[in-house]
Amino acid sequence: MDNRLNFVWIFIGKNTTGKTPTAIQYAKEWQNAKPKHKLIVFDSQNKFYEAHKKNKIKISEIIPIGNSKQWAEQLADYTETKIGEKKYKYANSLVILDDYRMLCKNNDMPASFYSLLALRPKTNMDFILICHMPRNILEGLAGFITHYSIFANNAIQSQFEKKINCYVQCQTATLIINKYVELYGPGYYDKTRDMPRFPYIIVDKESEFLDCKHMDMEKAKPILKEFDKKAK
Amino acid sequence: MAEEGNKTDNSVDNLAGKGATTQKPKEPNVLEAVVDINEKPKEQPTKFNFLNPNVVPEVISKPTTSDPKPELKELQRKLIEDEGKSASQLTLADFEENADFVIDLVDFLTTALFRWIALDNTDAPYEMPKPKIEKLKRQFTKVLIRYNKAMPILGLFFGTLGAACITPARKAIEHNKLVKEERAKRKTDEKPPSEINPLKRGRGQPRK
Repeated sequence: MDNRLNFVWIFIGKNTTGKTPTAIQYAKEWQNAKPKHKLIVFDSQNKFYEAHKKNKIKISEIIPIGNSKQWAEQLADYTETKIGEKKYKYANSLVILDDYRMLCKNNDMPASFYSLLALRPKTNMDFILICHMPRNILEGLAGFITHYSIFANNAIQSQFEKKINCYVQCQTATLIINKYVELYGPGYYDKTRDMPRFPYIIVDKESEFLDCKHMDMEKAKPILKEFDKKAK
Repeated sequence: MAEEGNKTDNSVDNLAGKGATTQKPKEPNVLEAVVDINEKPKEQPTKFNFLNPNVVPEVISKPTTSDPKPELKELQRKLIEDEGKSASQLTLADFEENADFVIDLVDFLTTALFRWIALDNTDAPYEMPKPKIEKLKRQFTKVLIRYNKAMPILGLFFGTLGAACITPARKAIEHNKLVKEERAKRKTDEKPPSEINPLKRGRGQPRK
């Protein structure tokens, strides 16, 4: 089987930090790169549908809010033309679950969600999951995550340690982004360019760098210096 | 010292503070090590990247390494559907393809015209600059969208095929001419066999 580059991206941040507009922006770029692929959303705030109406993105399927049990099974639905040849109905898609804990209310990861993630190389599915705290990350999910986007959040540092294997980077990112937002504000939506400008930091499991987005380097310098001094 | 090397001591005193120490192997391809599992990871400086802070990460817009190819029947059905589309059903990609074709054709024709004016056989100096071509394509796409016009797919295919073949065909004809000229020149340089005919040489000529 070919090596695929499917991602499972998790957005962590408190309310009104710009997680959903950023996810919409990601979806837009993703669709531009893969125009024939599908976009499936769990739209808890109806913001994706509004973006769809404004022709920013093109949603193929919406997971209904009441559907907290069978959604993952439905996404893994397939028809078998020959023995062993499965044709997945929702193959080649980006699945965005805004406030995904509304679909997974228990602390145990549903088996169907687990198998949906495990099937990613076959189904060619990318995932963006949005939540408020690291403690919202289900235990079974942590192993699949490839990227974290850390927005300003109220998480206690130990929450990361218990949930995430690259917790040191996530903790660092949280401290920096919280201080940055405290000093320079939470960011804004640039209506003239139709672009979200909310600051956040990307933690890539495979990269040694923390990627700072919508952050000014000159403004961030004193914050980093202060933390560096404290550490020493 | 040799005894020490062979000793495997797992006591708590030895583990603490020593870290990982590799001992001399007893057999080839075998390594022994005492690893302190309580040792905390060393704190290293974190690197922050401020490159392209306003751009969506590349991973998002990167195509997956292998998108599955559509099945033949599916592709056929899609092409037939596309063929039957009315102008209002055309997508942006259709208009872009048309604009690409038209501007490429215009570029080719103008290059040929300027080359003919300059009496020059080289291509490069008379081609339109690439950024301008891109700009023209974008503008022409908008014009097509405005007037809702696009060519059928078969017309596009034959047009592109023709445009693609013209340059190699011209080069082939030029090369053909060159080869023919060279052959003719070679023939004139060599003495014709009739002149070295001994019979002809001896007639009325004094012997050397």
